[in-house]
Parts: sequence; structure tokens; C-alpha cells
Amino acid sequence: MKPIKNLFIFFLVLLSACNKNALNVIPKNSLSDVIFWKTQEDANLALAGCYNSWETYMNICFLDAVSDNGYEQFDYGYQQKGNGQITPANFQQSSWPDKGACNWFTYSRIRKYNNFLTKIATVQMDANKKEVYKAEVRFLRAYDYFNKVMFFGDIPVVKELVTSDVKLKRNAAAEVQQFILDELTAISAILPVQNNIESGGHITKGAALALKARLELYLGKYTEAMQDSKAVIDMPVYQLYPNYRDLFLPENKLNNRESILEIEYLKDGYQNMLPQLSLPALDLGWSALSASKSMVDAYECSNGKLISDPASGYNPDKPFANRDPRLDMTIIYPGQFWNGRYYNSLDKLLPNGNKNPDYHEEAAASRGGQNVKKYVKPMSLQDMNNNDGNIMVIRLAEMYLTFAECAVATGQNTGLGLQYIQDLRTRAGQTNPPGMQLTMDLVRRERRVELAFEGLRFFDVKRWDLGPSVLPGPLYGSREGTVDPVSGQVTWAAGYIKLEDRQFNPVRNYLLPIPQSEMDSNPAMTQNPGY
Amino acid sequence: MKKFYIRYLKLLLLLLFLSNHAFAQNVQVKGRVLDSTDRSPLIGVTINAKGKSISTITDKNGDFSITAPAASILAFTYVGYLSKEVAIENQAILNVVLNPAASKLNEVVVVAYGTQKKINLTGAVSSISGDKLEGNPATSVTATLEGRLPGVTITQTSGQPGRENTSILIRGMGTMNNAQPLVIVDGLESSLDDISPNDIQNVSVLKDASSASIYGSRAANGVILVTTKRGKAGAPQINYNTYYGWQKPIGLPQHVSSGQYATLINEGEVNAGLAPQYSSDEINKYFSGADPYNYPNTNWVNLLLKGSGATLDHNLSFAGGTDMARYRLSFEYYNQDGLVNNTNHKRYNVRINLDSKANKWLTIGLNSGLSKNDVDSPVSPYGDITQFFRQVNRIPPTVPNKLANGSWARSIDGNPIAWAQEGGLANSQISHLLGSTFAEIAIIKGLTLKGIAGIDYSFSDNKTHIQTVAYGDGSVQGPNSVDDYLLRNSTTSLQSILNYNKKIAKHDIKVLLGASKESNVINIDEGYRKNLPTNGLDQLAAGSSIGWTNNGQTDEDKLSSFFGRFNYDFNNKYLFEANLRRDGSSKFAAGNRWGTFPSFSAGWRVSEEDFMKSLKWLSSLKLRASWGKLGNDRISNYQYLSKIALGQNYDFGGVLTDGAATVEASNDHITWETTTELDFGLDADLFNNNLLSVSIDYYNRYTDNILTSVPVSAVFGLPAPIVNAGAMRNRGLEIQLQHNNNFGDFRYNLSFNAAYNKNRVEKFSNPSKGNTIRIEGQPWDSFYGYQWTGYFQTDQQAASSPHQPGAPVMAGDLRFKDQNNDGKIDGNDRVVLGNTIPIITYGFNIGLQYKNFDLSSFFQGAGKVNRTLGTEAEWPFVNGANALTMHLDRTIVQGGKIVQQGYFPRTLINQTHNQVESSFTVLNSSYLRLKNCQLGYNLPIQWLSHMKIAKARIYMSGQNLLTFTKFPSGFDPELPEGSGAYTYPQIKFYVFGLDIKF
Repeated sequence: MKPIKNLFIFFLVLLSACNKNALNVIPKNSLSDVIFWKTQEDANLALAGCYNSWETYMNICFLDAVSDNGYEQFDYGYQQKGNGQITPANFQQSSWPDKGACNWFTYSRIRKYNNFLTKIATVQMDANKKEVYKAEVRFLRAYDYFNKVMFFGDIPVVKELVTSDVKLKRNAAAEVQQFILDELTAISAILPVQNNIESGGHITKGAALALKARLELYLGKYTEAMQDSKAVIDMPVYQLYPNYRDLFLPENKLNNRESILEIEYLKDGYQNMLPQLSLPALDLGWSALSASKSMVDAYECSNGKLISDPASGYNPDKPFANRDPRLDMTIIYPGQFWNGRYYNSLDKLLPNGNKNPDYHEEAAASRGGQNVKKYVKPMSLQDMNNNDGNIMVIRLAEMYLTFAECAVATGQNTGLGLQYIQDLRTRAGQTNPPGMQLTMDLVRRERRVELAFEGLRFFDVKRWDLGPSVLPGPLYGSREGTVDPVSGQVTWAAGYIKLEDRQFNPVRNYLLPIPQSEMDSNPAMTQNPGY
Repeated sequence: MKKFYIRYLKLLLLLLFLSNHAFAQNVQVKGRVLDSTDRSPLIGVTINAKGKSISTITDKNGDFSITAPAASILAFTYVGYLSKEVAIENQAILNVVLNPAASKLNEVVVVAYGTQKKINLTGAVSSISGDKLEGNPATSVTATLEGRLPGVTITQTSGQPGRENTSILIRGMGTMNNAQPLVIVDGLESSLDDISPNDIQNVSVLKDASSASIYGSRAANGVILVTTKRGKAGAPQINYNTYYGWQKPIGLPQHVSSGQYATLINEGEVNAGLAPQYSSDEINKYFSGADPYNYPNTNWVNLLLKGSGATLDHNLSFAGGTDMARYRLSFEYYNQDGLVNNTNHKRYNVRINLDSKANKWLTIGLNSGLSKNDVDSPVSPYGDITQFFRQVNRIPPTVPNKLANGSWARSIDGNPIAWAQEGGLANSQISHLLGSTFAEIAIIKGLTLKGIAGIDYSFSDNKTHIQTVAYGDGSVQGPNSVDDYLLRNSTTSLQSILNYNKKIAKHDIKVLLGASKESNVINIDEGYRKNLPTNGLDQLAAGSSIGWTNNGQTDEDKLSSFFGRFNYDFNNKYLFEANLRRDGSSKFAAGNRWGTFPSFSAGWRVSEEDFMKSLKWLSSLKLRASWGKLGNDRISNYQYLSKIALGQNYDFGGVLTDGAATVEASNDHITWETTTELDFGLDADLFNNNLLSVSIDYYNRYTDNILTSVPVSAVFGLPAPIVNAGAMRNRGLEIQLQHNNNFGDFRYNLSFNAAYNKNRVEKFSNPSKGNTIRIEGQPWDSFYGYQWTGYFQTDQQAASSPHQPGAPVMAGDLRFKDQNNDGKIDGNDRVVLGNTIPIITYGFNIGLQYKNFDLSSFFQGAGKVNRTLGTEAEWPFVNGANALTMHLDRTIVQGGKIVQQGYFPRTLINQTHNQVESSFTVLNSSYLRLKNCQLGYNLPIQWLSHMKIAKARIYMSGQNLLTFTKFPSGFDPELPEGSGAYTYPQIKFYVFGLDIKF
């Protein structure tokens, strides 16, 4: 009878609902730990996963806005750190969706690295290769702690996987620094000697020693820094790129033997937007970064003398004539011939009576009237947003300057130190005046100029304690005036474009605040002074 | 004498005969019987000549014809209606209107897996019948329900066609997860979006644990049961409804003119220590408007809102059948243009409901709804329509829309007006099938078995075609691209339900046993290519192979359940119900998968007791109580599994290398979130039933083991995992009052509903603090910031008073309270500042009817509720944005002190210390809104009868006509939290409509 049959169906449904496996579902878009960490391929996937977002171009190219070199107009996260208005609450506030920008506090990368270093144990692969993979990841971890200790001082150090209820106190900065140095020492024995063309962007021995030299220099360990920088300089795989301007352009990345550590970029998959952010408005960029007056003034005259030196021949009404060629190659200033026009950030209107998009008050114009040229060149709007230029984190020139600074500080190898500086100047086309002496002033100036907008000035200001003299007060950009569109001749006015008033609180000791979210969720955390 | 008697007798007989002739003269009376509320014809009304054995019934059109003695009185009786007696009095045509029986004894309410007499209900159920929603056009079913049901909070956050973004909360926010109620359409889980309002028979909202618990796992936030209309035995009923309407924005942000902009930005720059950028000559040029290309005054918002907003709807339905088979078919076409060009929503609905009594013991049937939604909105190389609104709210009026030669001008990110016209189109074609077949077998008397097999399948076919936009400066924004995104969402469900009813003397017993199985799979496939040779091509094949991408994903979950219900009532006086449900969810690990959820409820119809009979004013009184437990598993899938995400790639030497990494934390201990709810209710009818009816509910809902993430130290290194973390309580009171009456032909009804709900976090181990806070003792996700106490009067006062370290505070800046008196304003000075969930919601309805005219207006409101506009709308000049006219009311400072006090602090450029979350930015968003006002007219039947039309009604109505609020003008108090600068505006909707019944 039918009803009986239907009763049967009813019970079938009941039974199938009882079936134990009926409720098992397996994710099909992602791997799981159960099946992973077995083969060389797994290790390859995990290694690339570690490199993903290990550093962002913004933290390299925009960090000078947190110093006297520049100004960042949209507050991608750097402006408020530059002018002293940073608070624990707005620490990660950024108008730009690059999650890596200013995100030095996060431990998500550290966790990824620790996870790799823990779980690769079960992977079956060539033992030596495994050690190299581990060394690469240990480098990335050391690099991350390097930033943490530089920006926050004392900071919790975790070397293993921790559970979600972790509530750690801060480790002393010295302890963190020692950990980084020990790690770098250890892995430099494992990693290969290769430049980036050979390594394809993998971490090398040169990178490990170079980062070590950088930290040692910052800590005043001049002997060690000199030794490590020399070791890198002596590696046969590195050499200065012949042209200072071209060194930074995307098309030359495959010939660049100067780069020691870099972030690799690729169109349509791992691209950056630096040209969009940096180019002038008329070139359809957003001019996010402006060079300051102080930066421009730091460049020598072409005779090697400072503009403040009456013998330099510096003419305030022709401020860009006869200057260190690196000024021209680093900064787009009013009257410079650029992309088929004389760059003009000073006049409101174009000769045809239309508004001048490059005028420094316009939305996408350089607020200071001086765009940063390093790393970018004119390109189509599409390419600007899909840029494949690699961004160097450490390059050979820094090692030269590190060696030279150590030479001054220790009084040893000063001849070689001077030679290195002269090599850099020669490469850029700047005169080495007769009787040139290796002095700390020279080294500091050379470092500021050669490495402008490469993200090192903040650390230099900090370790030289220049803050009270260079940070507080008004920050200026270009001098005001008017540009002749035909000749490029600038008729200068008296004043300078004022960008902002900056505050400097020495109590803060150049440290950033611990983000409020961490203060709220970790009772063991303490705030840095002055916040 | 005898002769005399005979003559007398003869006369008498004659008289008798005559009189008999006169009194017994039969007349034919024709007429029609209509329902008093909706003027629909009543079929099968019994008409009886009083005291005679003459009777008839009305036909399918409500018409009757009766031949009765001219002096008779006709009695009209009809089940569910008040009887009426009408004397014939020489009338040949007699049209009669019957009033529904005020006695609610027979009123039936749709409940879980069936219906129940309202008087026997022991749970908290609100319901509204479809005819109340009919002829009340709104852009969606959800919108028509707003404010009509106590305890149900509905917000619509956008007026964009097809993307209205409505959200429903029943009795407040009961969980930290998805708090939307479960929507069941004809027994299957679905959504309200794809139903035609005209197809709705009834909407019931199951609010307390006992009424909802049989739906177990997903019922913790309440259940909305929608029953669609079905055919009735009888001649075909044909309905045609149509309306035409148009929209207007409720309010738009009022931006400053270019002259005001230049003036204000100069002031801001001077305040920030910078040089003013506009000369007075330039400011004059902006004010004069003489040079519209170099000194324009562009109203970007107006330029964007050029769409017609025209809306057209046709709905046609056929219903009828025999005792053996009944049918209802309906079709709807809906076409709405938005306020922005190229925004459009077309909806096609087909619904087929069939019931057939196959034989003595078997009933089979089909419910099916097919819908297609076709939604267009403009896109640009820079983003979707939110970016359009963001840009028109951002770009200063000093930027022209077009250059002198007619080409597009461009601002920093492009030109939103150019995008709207040339930037391309995003089109979504969403086909949705919700269908089920059922078979019900009568096994023995009182015992039935019902099996339902259902499919809910939606196919969403999205094409985003971005076109390049060329600007007058020679730049081209691009690249053009095509993105095809296909999403299939399929839910299959099987249910078996065994029902047993037995009545023994005064004992009435009902038992229900059931099992169900449900599985849901979402599949996504996506392909993308860019750089197509021309903007005219929109197919993937035309795109470049450089930079193409594709993607595919799947997501799956399953649910198995057993459930049972037991109802007992004694003499319709003492009522009892018990439910038990056991659920297994694939979202939890094997050991934590199953949960058991019981509930009990009882009712006492006090008015049936003898001792109450003397209270004549009390027609009925029922007390209810319920207690129950419900489970919630609404978290994303696979949370208990440790996963490694792919796509974590890196470029090694010019080769994109695949990478993998763990990016989220898993927790294999997670299990059911449970909600325990206690409800006490009272239903009463006072003063002869129809004068006043009252329904009151008190509830206490405790949600425990809430599945959420608890803040973790950043050192953990992954986003906080989902854990069974907290507990919260919602306590509230709901009240509903109804009053109907009539004075002759004038009828009116008034109804009022209000709800009070208080939310409190009871357990949360590590408070989550930011601009909102989750902390024990406070409502969930309350605003959290500084307490604003006024303005700094002088620079000196600012410098010497507590302020945020590093903030360059000066005269005219906001002053915040140093709660802990440590001399500075920092994270420790934050306090709770309000919440986006209203504590009070209410609505009231006024309905008037006079002869053929009806007028109804419906008001709805929310009180004790807060919102922020978001930084870009709240403050002027945020990252180069525009300012609003409200920002002109600012504080002006000269020489280090305030010279003119305004509402806003001094205007600043690039300095954000006033913009922190505080009681200045958290705004009161209480409102009262005239949600709907409608005037209708039923055409007289005599005009219609020869056209075979049973009923025709014309009406005009308006939606969202008036809003009373203290929220900043130009912004809707219901806008999505913090998105003042991004949202498609809310709309007013004016409509003319026609309903015809054949």
C-alpha cells in the first residue's frame, strides 16, 4: 500500500540524516596542514608565500616624508609620523589601501616565517636546499624585527608559533638587536653569494651581511659594520650601475648589479603603483611626495662646495644651475625640462589661460612644488598602475657609505673610505674637488644626497640625533615665483611654499607609538614615552 | 343573520385574499455582496428571506438573485463575517457590504509547519496578511514591511535600484554574527527579495524561542514565514494590478559653492599656519560665475542624479480550481530606473502554485517561484557606484565638469560624470528558482504524512564591462576590461513531517514529528581580461591574453535535523506546547556538531473562565509564557579546519611564483551558539471586540557561546580566530494596539505598535575597543570615543588644558574630557557614546474609509539611536575633499581666540585632531517618517458590472514622504553607519496605481 511506501521514504530521510559522514564537507579552494608540508613543491609554495608582502615599496619610497627630506600630502600614513601628530589611535590610519604601508607593528609576517621554520621539518627534500630555504626565511624574519626595533624600541620577540591567548611583554631593544645580528651571522654562512640577477630576488649572503652592516652602523659598532660592509663590497657579484638616474628605472632591472636586497615587481600579478603616486599631475600622477627645500639645499654645487659657502658660486636666483647632477636626477623642480615641458608648479594658469594642474595647490600637484623623480619616468596611465620596477632596499652604494662612515668613526681605512665616496660622486658626474677630505660632514651629506628618498634618512636623523635641529618648525618646499613656459626661466619671488608646521618631541626618542589596538588587547604591553 | 354571516365571511375571505395577494406578492431582488474592507466580492454568502424557506447563495462574482415577498427582510450570513439583515423595501437592486466578524475566534495564524488559531497561540507571533500589503507599492517586499510589525526593525540603506540593501532585525541584535532572521517561503528557506508583494498571502514573524524553535539552528534571530497565495475552488479569479511611479531623493548633501569653498579653504589654510591659496579676486570670480571653465561652480551631485527614477509595474494573476485541483498563476514585470543614468532594475516573477487532491488519501502540490532580476549600474576604471557617490561628494565645486571645448575635465581620480556616461556598465542577471513539490498522505483519521522536496537555485551572471574614458587633457583612463563572474547558489532540502491530531472530548492533542536534510553549495567562476581593442566589445574573447585572470571557488555546508512538536489544549482554555529539535551542522568538527534545542510554552485564556464572564467589557484575554533554546551556526564554513591559502604569490626574477600561507586561524573547538529566550505575553480584546485590541510581550533573550572573534594581541600574528566567546542579553517590551470603528458609512482603523529593546553584552573575555566597543555591561558595538565638552576659547587655554599628545590644538578646537584626570587625552579617556541599533522603534497606521474612498497613512520611527557620517562627510576638506554648507557654521578664530562661535570647530586643512571619534561625531539619528500615504477610490460597481469587472480601485500613494529628524540635513538617518560620503541616496516614491479584479 502506498502510505506504507511513503512511510518508508520518511524513514529513509531519517536514516540518511543520521549518517555520520553526511555532514562532512571538505574545503576545495585551500590546502590544509594535514596534507601539506611533505614535498619540495610544498616547500616552494610556502617559501614564495613567505616572500609575498615581505616589504612594500611605499615603506621604502615614502619613508623620507618622516624626515626633513620630504612631505607626503595624502597621509598614506607617513605625513602624521613626519609632523609629530601621530597618536596610538591613528597609527595605522592610512588613506591608501596598501596593507603593508607603515604596518611595522604587525606580527603576521613573523608568524608566517615562524610557521615555515617550524613546519618545514617534515618536508622531504635535499637537506642543503632546505637549510638555504630556512636561511632565506630567517633573513626575512630578521628584517622584520629590524624594522620593529628601529620604530618601536623594545618589542616582544617570538621565534616560535604562539597561541591566540599570547600576552607578551616587550623584550629590551638590545636583546632584539642581538637576536637579529646572531641570526644574520648564522645565515650568512648558509646563503649563496649572488647578485639579484642571479638569485632572482631570493635572499643572498650579500643581503644578510648588508643588513647586518646597516644595523651595526646604527648601533655604532663601527668595526663590525666596516668589516661586514667590506665583505659585501668585495663580493665579485656586485658593481655600481654606471648611470645614477637609470639605476632606478624599471627597464634596467635586469642589468642591475648594484642591488643587494630588493622587492621584486611584475606586471599583472605583483605590480606596484609608484609612478601613479609619484609623477606630476600633468603626467597624470598624484604627486604624493614632495621634496623639501632642506633636501634641495643639501646638494652641493657642481664644484663640490656647499651652497652656503660663498666660494661655491651659488646664485639664489639660479638655484639649480651648477649643482650636483644628482639633484637633477632625483627631483623635478620648477623650470626643469621634463616630459616635453618646463615643469611649472608655481603658476596657477597655463599660458592658454587654463588652470595649471601642476600648480602646487592643485589636487594632484606636488604640494611643495617639487616632485620626486627617483624610480619614476613618464608612462601611460595604465602602466603607472601596473608598474614592474623593482625597489631596492639595500644597494652597493649604501655599503660604500657605511664603510666610509666607519672609516671616519674609527680613523681606519680612511683612504679607501674616501675612494668609495669619490666613486659614487664620479658615477653621478659630481666633481671630487682637489684636496678632498673624508669628514663626517661629507659622509652625512653624501649619504643624504646619494640615498635620498630610499627610506634611510629617518634612521640617520635618529642615530645622529638631528631631530631638534632639523625636524621642528615650518617645512618648506620650492621657492615661489613664475616660470616662463618657453625658456623655462624662473623669476623667483621672495617666499617659499610652506608645507606644514612640524612638532618634535624629544621625549619620544624617535619612537612610534604602540598601536592603541595592542594597548587595548594586551595588558602586558606598555606605551612608548610621549604618547 | 346567517346570511349576514355568510356575506361577512365572503367579504373577509375576499379581504384575506386581497390582503394575501398584497402581502404575499413576490419580488425579485438582485444584488452583489462585497467585503467591507477591500470591496472584493464574497462568494457563497447565504441569503435567506427571514421567516421563509427562501434562500440562495452568491455566485462567483458575489452576485445573487432572490425572489421573495416584497416585505421580507433578507438575512446575509457568511462564515467569518458579521451577519446583516436588510429589508427589501421596494429595492430591485440590493448591494450589501459585509463586515468581517469582529470575533477573532476563527482567525488563523501561520506558524511553523502549519497554521494555528490565533486564540490558541502560545508563542509570540506577529503577522500581517497579504491584502494589507497589496496596493502599497514599494521597491521591495522588505520595504513594505518596515514598521508594520512590532519588534521587527527594518532598515533600507540605499535607494539604488536592485541594491536596496535592506536589513531586518527581530528583537534587536541577538548575535555578533549575521543577525538577520531566517526567511521561509512556503516551507523553504529563501529570501524576501524575489517575491512579488501581490503573491503574498501572509507574513508571520515568529519572535520568541517557542514559536521559532522548531526551525532550530537558524531561528535564533527569529523567523519570517511567508505563505504565498493559492487557488480556491470556484470560478477563475483574475487580478490585474499596475502602477507607475517615480522617485526623488529624500535629501542630498548640500555642498558649498565654489566661492564659499575658496573662502573656507583659505580660512583653513591660515588656521593651519599655511598661506591662503585663493586671492580675493579669484574668490570674486568664483562667486560671479562669469568664467565657468576656469572659475566654475560645479554641483557634482546634481550632475550625477540625472536619471528619471521612473518605475512601472504590471502584475497579473489567475486563480481558481475545483475541489479536486486548484491553481494560482501569477506574473509580474517590474522596471525601475534609478536616479543615476544607467541604473536600472527589471524584475520578472512567475509563480505557480498547484494543489491537487489525487485521491481519497493523497494530496499533492507544487510551489514554484521563478524570478529574474536584471540590475544595471554604471562602473568606471576607478570603481563601482559607491566610488561615483564618493567622488561627487569629494570633488570641489572649483573643478569644472567639462572644458570649454566640450570635452571632459578631470579631477585627481577622473570625472564621475564622464564615468556615468561612458565608463561602462555592470550588469547582473540573477535567475532564481525556488520550487518544491509536496505530497501529503492521510494515513488514518488524524494522521498525515507530508514529504517536501525543494530546490532553491539561483544563478547570478554578472558582467562588469569597464570602458576607457578619454579626457580633454588627452589622458585616457583605463584599461577597458571585461569581468565575467558567475555565482551559482544551490540549496536542496528534503523534509518529512508526520502530523497527528486527536480530539477527545475537551482534550485536543496535536503531535508533529519531522526530519529534514539540507545542503547548500556555492560555486563561483570568474574570468577577467583587459585591453579590448575597442570599448564596444564586451566579451572575454576580445580581450588581451596579457594580464588575464580567472578564478573559481566553492563553498559548501550541510544541515541535518530532527524535530518534534506537541500541542495540547483543554477546552480552548489551557494551552500547552513543547518543541524539541536536534541539529547537526557541517560547520563544526565531528565531536561538536550536534545540538539539542527544546522549548515550552503555555497559554491561559482567562476570559473563558466563569469568573471572568461577568466582565462584559473584556471580550477576550489570554496570558502566554514561553521558554526555549535555539542554536545558531551562522559563521563562514570550514572555520574549524586549519587551512593554507593559495595565491600568496611572489615575483622571483620576473616569474610569478605560486605561494601558499596560513592567513587565518582555525579553532576546532567551536560549536553551537545558543539563545535562550523567555517571553511573557498578553492578548486582550476590549469593549465588544472591535473597539480595542491589545497585545503586549515582554522578552528576555540570552545568547551564549557567541561565535565571534575576541581581540588578540598582534603578537599572535593571525586575525583572531572564531571562538565561542561571549554572551549578550536583549530585553524588551512590545506593544500593539488596534482600534476599529465606524459611524455609518465612515469607517476607520487605528493601529499602533512600539518596541523597546535593550542590548547588553554579558560576557566578553577581552574587550574589543576601537571606534566601537564590545565590553561587558554595554550594548554590543557601541560607539566609543571622547566626550566632547566644548571648544578651546584661547590658544593659551588649549595649550594648558589636557589634549591629545602631539595634537597642535589651538583656540576654536574641540575640547574633550580628561576622564581619568591624567592631564592628557588618550585611549584611556574614551567612553561609550551610543549605538546604531535603535532602543525604541514604533509605527502607527491611520486608515479612513468613506463609501468608496479610502485614505491611509503610515508613520514609522526609531528613537534612541545613533550614527556617524564618517570622516569624509562629517568634516570639510578631508584629503582634498569638498565641504558642505553645514561646515560654514564654523568657529572663527583671530589673534589666538574665538571671535565667532560656530557649531563646527575652526576649519583646518590636514590636521585631524578634531576628527577623532567623540560625542561630536556620534550623532542622534532618531527619526519619524511618513512612510506611506495613500488615497484610493473604488469605482462604483454599477459602472463595472457590464464590463465583467468585479472590482476596480485606483489609488495614488507616496512613500517616504516626510522625515522628521535631527540628523544633519541632506543625510538619511538610516544611512549605513559611517558612509555619508558614499551612499546612493534614499528615495521618495510617488505612485499612481490601478487594481482590477475580474
